[in-house]
Amino acid sequence: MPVIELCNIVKSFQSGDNKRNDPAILDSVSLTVEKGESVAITGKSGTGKSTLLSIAGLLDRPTSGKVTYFGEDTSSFSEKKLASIRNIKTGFIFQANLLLEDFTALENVAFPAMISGLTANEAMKKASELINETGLSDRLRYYPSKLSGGEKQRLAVCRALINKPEIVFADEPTGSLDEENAIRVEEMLFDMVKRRDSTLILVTHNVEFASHCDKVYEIKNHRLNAV
Amino acid sequence: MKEAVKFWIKVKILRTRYLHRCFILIAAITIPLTMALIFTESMMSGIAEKFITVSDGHLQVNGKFSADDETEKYISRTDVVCSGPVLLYSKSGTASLLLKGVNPEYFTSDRLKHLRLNVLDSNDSSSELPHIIISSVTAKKLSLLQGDRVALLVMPNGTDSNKNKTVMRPVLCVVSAIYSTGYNQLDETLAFTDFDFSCGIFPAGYTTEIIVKAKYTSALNEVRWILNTDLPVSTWKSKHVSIYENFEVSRQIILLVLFLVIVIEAFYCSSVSSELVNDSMRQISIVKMLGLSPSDVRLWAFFSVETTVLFASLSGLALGLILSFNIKNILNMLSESVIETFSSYLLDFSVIVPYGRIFIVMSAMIIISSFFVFISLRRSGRIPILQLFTET
Repeated sequence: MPVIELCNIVKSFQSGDNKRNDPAILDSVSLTVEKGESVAITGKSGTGKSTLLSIAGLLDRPTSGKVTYFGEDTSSFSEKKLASIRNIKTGFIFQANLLLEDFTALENVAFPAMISGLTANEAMKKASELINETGLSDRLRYYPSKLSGGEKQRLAVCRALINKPEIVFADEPTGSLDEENAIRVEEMLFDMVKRRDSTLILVTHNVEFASHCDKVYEIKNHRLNAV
Repeated sequence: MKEAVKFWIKVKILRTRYLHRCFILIAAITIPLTMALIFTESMMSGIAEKFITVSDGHLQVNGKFSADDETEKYISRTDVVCSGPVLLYSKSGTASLLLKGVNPEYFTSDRLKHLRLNVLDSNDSSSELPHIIISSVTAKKLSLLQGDRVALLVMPNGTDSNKNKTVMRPVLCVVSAIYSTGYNQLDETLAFTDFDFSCGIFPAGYTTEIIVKAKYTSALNEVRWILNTDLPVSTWKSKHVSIYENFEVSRQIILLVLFLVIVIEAFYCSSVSSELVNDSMRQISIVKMLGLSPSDVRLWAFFSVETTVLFASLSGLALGLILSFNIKNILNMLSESVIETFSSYLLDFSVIVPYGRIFIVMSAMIIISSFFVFISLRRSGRIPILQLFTET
C-alpha cells in the first residue's frame, strides 16, 4: 500500500477582495510514494514545489483532488486528527529551520515527543540521545539565537525525526547553508531517514542533492513530471 | 492537558517579559486590595469593639436587670450603670457629654486596656468632690489636666419634684483620670463618674449593659429574646444605627471599588493575552506544524495568562496579609513621621482577616479575567500553519 497518494491535485489561490481564484499553480498533479522511498521534487522558483509539499504534508488543503495517507482519504479528517498525523506520522524540515526561539536546543527537539505523550523527562532523554548522534551534545542548553545556521538545521532534522515518523517532508533543507554545512546536513538527513526506514519527500532546486533520491520529479507548467 | 502544553506554558511564563510585567502589576494591585479589605474590616470591628466594651455592651436593658441561671450561660458580664447628659465647663470651654456612673469593678482589665487607663486615683486631695474621668480629647478641648476641677451642669430628666420647671444644677467635680480609647468620636462624647454620685443626679438613668459571650455575639437578637424581661432591650446595632449603617455602606462601597479595579485589571489581562498571541504567531504556527491542535493552542494561551494571574494574585494576597498583620506598626510609623492625621485615628485594633470577602474578591478577579482572556483568545487557535510561509 502506498504511504501517500496524491490524485489530480489542483491548487489555486484567491486574490483580492473579489474572492476570485487565480489560475491554478498546480494542475492535475498526481504522485504515489511507497514506504521507504525517497522522492525529490525539483523545479524553478515559484513553480509550486512548496505548495505541493504543504498539501502532501496536510499543512494545506487542495482546491480539488484527493490526498490519501495509507489508503485513507484525508479530506474528511478533523483538525485534531490532522494534528495527530503531523505529530506522529510526519516530520517537517524547512529552509528556515523554524526552531522555537524561547526553547533551548534540547527542548526544541524534545517538544514533538512531549506532544506525542512522553513526559518532559522522557522526551528530554530521547532528544538528548538523538542530538548526541549529530555531534551537538555540547549545544543542548543553547538557545537558537546562539547557534549557527548549520547547527540549527541539524537540530531541525533531529526534531523532525524524534517521533520516528513514517514520512519526512524536507523543503529546501540546505538552501540557506554554505556548501560544507549543506553536505553535512544532506548526509545526516539521508542517513537518519534510512536508518529509521522512513519515507522522504524532498523539495529542492539542487539537482545534485535531488539525484541522491530514489525518484526525481520536476514541476513544470503546473504539472509534475518524472525526470 | 498535554505534557507539551504544560511545558510550553511554563516556558512562556518563565521566559516572557510582559508576562513578568503582568505578574508584578497584578501582585501590586492585589496587595492594596487585600490590605484595604483587612484594614477596613479590622478598623470597623475595632470601633464596634470600643463601643461595645466601654460605651454600651452588646445589649442594653433599660433598667436594672440581673441574669438568671437560664440566661447566664449566654452572658459574659452584666453591669448596671446610671447615665445622663451633662455639660462640662472649664475656664477655656464647654463640652456636651454622656456621663456614665459606674462601680469600681466596672473597670475590668479588658476595659482598662481599651481605655488605656492604668491607675484609678481614688486618694486625690479633693476626694470630697465627685470624681470624673474624661477623655484626652475632652481634656484637650477644655484644657484640663488630671486633678483639675471642673463644673458639671446636669440636665434634669423630668423626675424632679417640680416637673414643670427645667432646673440647671451646676456641680463641682475633680478630674480623677484621663482615658483615651484611640477613637475620637467615642472619646469626645463619653465621661465616667462614681455610680452613687450618678444615681443622685440621674435617678431614672439606670441601664444594664450586657456583654454576651463571644460565641453568641452573632445571634444578639436571639439572646435578646432569651433575656425574657419586661424592660426594653436594645442591641448595640440598634442603638447606634447610623454608625452600624455607615459600616455596612463602607463595606459595600469598598467592595464596589474593588470590583471596578478588578474589571480594569481584567481588561489589562485581555490586552496581555492579545499581545501574547500577536507575539507568538510564528510559535503557534510551528507548534501546530509539530502536532498541537487548535484547542491545545487555545489552552496554552489561556493558561499562560491565567496561571500568571493566579500566581500573581496569590503572591499579592500573601504579601498583603503579611503587611496587614503589621499594619499597626506601619500606621504608627506613618503617623509619627509622614501623615500626622493618622495620630487621631484608631490605631490599637486587632487585625481581622475577612476570609470570605477576600475569597469572593479573588474569585471574581480570576473569573472576570478568565472571561476577558477567553474572549480575546478566540482567534488564537485559528492561526494557520501557513503563517510560517508568509513570514519566511
